[in-house]
Amino acid sequence: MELSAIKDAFDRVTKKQKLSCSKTQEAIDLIRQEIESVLDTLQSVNNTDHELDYKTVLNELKASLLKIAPLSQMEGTQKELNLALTKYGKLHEKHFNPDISKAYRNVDIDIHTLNQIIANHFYRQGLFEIGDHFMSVVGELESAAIMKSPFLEMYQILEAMQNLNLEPALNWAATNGDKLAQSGSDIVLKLNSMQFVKILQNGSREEALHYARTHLSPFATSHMTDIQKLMGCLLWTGKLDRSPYHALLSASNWDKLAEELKRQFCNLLGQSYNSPLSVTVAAGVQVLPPLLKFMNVMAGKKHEWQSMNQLPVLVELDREFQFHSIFVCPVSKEQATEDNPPMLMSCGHVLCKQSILKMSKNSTKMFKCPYCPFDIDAAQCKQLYF
Amino acid sequence: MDVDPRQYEQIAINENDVNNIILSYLIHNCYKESSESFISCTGMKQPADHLENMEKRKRIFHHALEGNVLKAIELTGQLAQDILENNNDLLFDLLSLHFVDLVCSKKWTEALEFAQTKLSPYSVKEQKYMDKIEGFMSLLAYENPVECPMFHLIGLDYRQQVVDSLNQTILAHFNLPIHTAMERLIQQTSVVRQCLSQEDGGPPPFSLKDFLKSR
Repeated sequence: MELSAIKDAFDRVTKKQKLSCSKTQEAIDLIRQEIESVLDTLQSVNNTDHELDYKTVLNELKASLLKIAPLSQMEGTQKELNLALTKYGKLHEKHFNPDISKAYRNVDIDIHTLNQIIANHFYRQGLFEIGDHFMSVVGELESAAIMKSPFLEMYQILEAMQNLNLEPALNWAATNGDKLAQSGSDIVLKLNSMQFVKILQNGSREEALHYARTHLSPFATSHMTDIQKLMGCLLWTGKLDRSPYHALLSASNWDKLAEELKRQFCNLLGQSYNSPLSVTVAAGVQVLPPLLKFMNVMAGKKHEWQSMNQLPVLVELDREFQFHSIFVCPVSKEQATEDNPPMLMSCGHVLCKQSILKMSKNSTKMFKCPYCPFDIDAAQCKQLYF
Repeated sequence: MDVDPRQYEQIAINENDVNNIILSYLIHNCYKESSESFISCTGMKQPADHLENMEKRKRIFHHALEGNVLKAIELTGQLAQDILENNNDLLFDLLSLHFVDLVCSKKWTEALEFAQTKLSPYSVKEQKYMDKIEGFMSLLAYENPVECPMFHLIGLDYRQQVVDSLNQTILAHFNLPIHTAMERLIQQTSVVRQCLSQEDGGPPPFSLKDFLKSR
């Protein structure tokens, strides 16, 4: 959404408001001056023996105020302010649709599942107290403990890393070494490398050499270049910041390592790196504008929208929200489903099952591939899995 | 000489030439006693300064091969001050041999000290030295360096290669040939035979092994 137009309008309103305010203040000051002047005159006359015509003095005051004409002065800026404010209001209504409830439909969702999703979000964000309280209120404390435990461990590891303490992370890596190796992760080497650099920074060369032999040498065959550089660091014990390897001391290395650990930790749990709830909300925010536009177009056919399986408009999601490939049949133009899966034909092209059944008259005769001259036997088509 | 190259049996070889080839080999490889005997038996004239330098080269050669590289460096410096001063690559390789000796002797601390004081200064000169140092330092990651993927650095082939390079550098300094006549002769013979073998009816490529076996 483009917010600069709204900001410009807001700034314009602010500017007009300040101008109007200063004009008003100016007029009030003038009026006060005239009144104070007259009061001074009246008081000074009371101290003398002369008799004064009060009526004349007040008439003079009236004439002065009329001459100042404060209403006409303020009128201009007030009018400008109202105009800018009106424009801002219209712009606001144009850009912020308050009626997003139009873009929804009732979905039967299991409350228990919803509670699990919300609690999971709290725990994986490290908000353990809120998560516990939430689960207590909804009465699911038993499952809370199970869900919470691994993330508690993860955050203990991450917190220790923020304090430059790698012990919990190294223990976790040692415990899960086999699984991490199977998944192709090199985080064990990275953690040990970081620990090695820490020892060097503390100036203990013998300890660093011993650590390298115990924890780094197993990686030499597969990561020779990395090991060579780390061993080269031994020459700069205690003064790594002035060495060719000073990049190893960068603070951003710790941030990258923490993120990598979090990713691998969630991977071992069989969970996604990002909270499912945050992913859902982020994707929803992205999709809402085209959906609202669609709802305006379909305003008179609400019942149809409620029963649709598939939107007739294209909704683009960023790559970060695309987790699986989706096949669209070139014949029927519909997305493949479990009931209507993509099928690989003998010529190598792919159609959905229902299209094949239709073109082959329910597998009773050969049909021609829409893309090439091959004749296809429906019985020889194989289902594809993405 | 207008002779068909394939009729090489007819080419006459001067006896003196053969003697020179043999002497060249003996001198190059510091076979002092053999050289002296050969000279006296064949009646060749004595090269005045060669034998003296040969004695010194022999000691340097011996120390380097036997694992006393620092002594070899010292003796080379005594022979001529600028031989190693003008050759950073060779000096670095010799120093790295000493590092390897310390690693193989399991003198870890001493090896680290040596690398830090003697090898490390090279890393600020050129990147290639940095890469080499890293390779040598990776030997330290193992209690038994043979397990290291870089184990060839502790092998005899590598040591022989460095020592040969030292020998050649010293010879060049005294304006002596850095390769033996025998070596050059075999190399050129191989090339010639390779060219001839590509012609129809030409002889097979030259193989020193087959040649020695067939005699």
